[in-house]
Amino acid sequence: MTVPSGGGRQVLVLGGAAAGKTTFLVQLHGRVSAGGGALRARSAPTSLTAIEEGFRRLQQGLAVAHTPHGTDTSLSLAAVGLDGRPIDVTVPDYAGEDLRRLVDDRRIQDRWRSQVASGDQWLFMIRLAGHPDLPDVLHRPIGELARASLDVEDSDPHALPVDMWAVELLQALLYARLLDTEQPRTLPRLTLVLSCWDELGTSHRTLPADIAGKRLALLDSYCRATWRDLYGVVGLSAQGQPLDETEPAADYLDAGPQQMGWIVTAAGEQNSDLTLLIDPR
Amino acid sequence: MTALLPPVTAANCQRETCFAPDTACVLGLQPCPNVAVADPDGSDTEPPEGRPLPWSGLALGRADLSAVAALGRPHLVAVVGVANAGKTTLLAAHWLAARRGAGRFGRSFAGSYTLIGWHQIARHLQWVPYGRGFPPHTTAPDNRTPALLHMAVSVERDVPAHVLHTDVPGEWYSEWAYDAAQAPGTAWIVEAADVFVILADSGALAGPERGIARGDYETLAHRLESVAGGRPVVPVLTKADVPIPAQIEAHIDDLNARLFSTNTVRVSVHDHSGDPVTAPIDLATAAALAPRRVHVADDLARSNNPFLAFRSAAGKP
Repeated sequence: MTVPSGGGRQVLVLGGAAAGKTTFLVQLHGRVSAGGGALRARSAPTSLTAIEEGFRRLQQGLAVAHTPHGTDTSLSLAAVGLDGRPIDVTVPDYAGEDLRRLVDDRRIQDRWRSQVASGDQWLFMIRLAGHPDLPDVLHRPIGELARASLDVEDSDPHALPVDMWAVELLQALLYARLLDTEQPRTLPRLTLVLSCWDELGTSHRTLPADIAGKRLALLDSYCRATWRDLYGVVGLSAQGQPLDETEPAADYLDAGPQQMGWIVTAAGEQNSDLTLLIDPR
Repeated sequence: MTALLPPVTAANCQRETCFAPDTACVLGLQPCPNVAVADPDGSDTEPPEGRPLPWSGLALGRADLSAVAALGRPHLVAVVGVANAGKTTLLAAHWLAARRGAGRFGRSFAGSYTLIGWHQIARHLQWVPYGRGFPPHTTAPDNRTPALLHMAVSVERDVPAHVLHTDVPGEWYSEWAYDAAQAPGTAWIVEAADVFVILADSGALAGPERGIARGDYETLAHRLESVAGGRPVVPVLTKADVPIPAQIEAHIDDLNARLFSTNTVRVSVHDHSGDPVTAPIDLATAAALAPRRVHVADDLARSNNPFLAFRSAAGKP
């Protein structure tokens, strides 16, 4: 962990379990260390234990294992932008369990209050392929729909579908951000990151905002209404391709994971500089 | 003196509008003295860390309303209809439309403090028997209680507008239609609503009991008209795929046109040749958000409102 430097930008990476935070962080660490992109390393992280396992697996061209529940680590990457301003990228909730619990228990833990109060940009990661498409109210009978939605969506009546969960989480985090301040604080920049973009099978030059508008309309409308021009949607494929748990991918072994992975910018262009997700402004 | 006061126990705040620990203490006390009561057994169960969110996510009760009302004047859409007329379906359709980005307000969603409540509606939770008034606060996520659902919508203003939708059992309305004093919950709704959606059930109007259904709707419509006082009413014929006798249909259409000066919206979730199933609540929401007409007594000398009544010697006999 590095101590966040005063005056620098604080970027929080948020997302539920299996949203792809570990792979992204491993890859971001590689990019920042290599120094070829918009962000360079300010200092080597003092501890890489949180991503060590994932780092090793990617080097071998294997899929990064899911962070086990109960892993209560947070990790910061100390970086510096092209203009020399320090930027700290933090994943406060490595396993994604805390955020799930925040919505379930409806309590904001103390460490989240300080984390969300200081953030300048939130990267909110959602892996769409992990969530079923919405039932179609306008083209299917409601009764049939009700039965189907009970099957597809989580059978736990307390569990919210991902779009509703994300809205509740953001509402809670915004509330937490206002708790400790006397004056109204400006909103952090919000970047919705659609992870594992390669799984969506989109055509060339699909705009990430269009996918968010279609598949996550509720969340997209909420973010647009609340953040306005501080809100953006990008696509991310941190691995660039599906990786197997056991069978190494040859191109990973040869080229190294630093050559792999890309983002889809808001304009729909593919770019291999993963550090562009972090807004330098 | 203190001995007369009931012992303070966990989850029992004396304040009428406080439901700690379900929600945050209304006074913002942390820890709240009413909740943070030491375990009498001395077993040290650690209080949960962190600060509770001030909203529960469940549909709102009477007292829960104050939190939403503090954000700006809420616009209340009342969905009126007897049991099984399709009130829940219209609400579920409204919510799913917001989730899919469909309908008139499909891209205007700007937040909700009753996400779990909406989720229950969309999951078609069945009613359990409940009394005739709103509870002050809803607690059980597995039960459905008469309550209000909240949705903030972004409508080209600086801040979102807050819309509330009623979700109450149809029995409230069937009783109210015949005896206005019977249903305190309905009385609250008709007092507070900005706009009404009234449902006629094609299923019932086509069935063997269609005479009763027609009479019930007529009574309900007249009752609503008598209290609406110029507020907009959206009449809806639900389950429009079920054919109903032409005379009954014409009667309902005429009645709606006469009482509410507007055409009947026809919706069905099975047949999409009519209006979209999202249309009734969309129309009502739009009407609720429209600037409210201010009623000024025409004849100031005869106003029922003592503040507006113009009292002068001329008015005296």
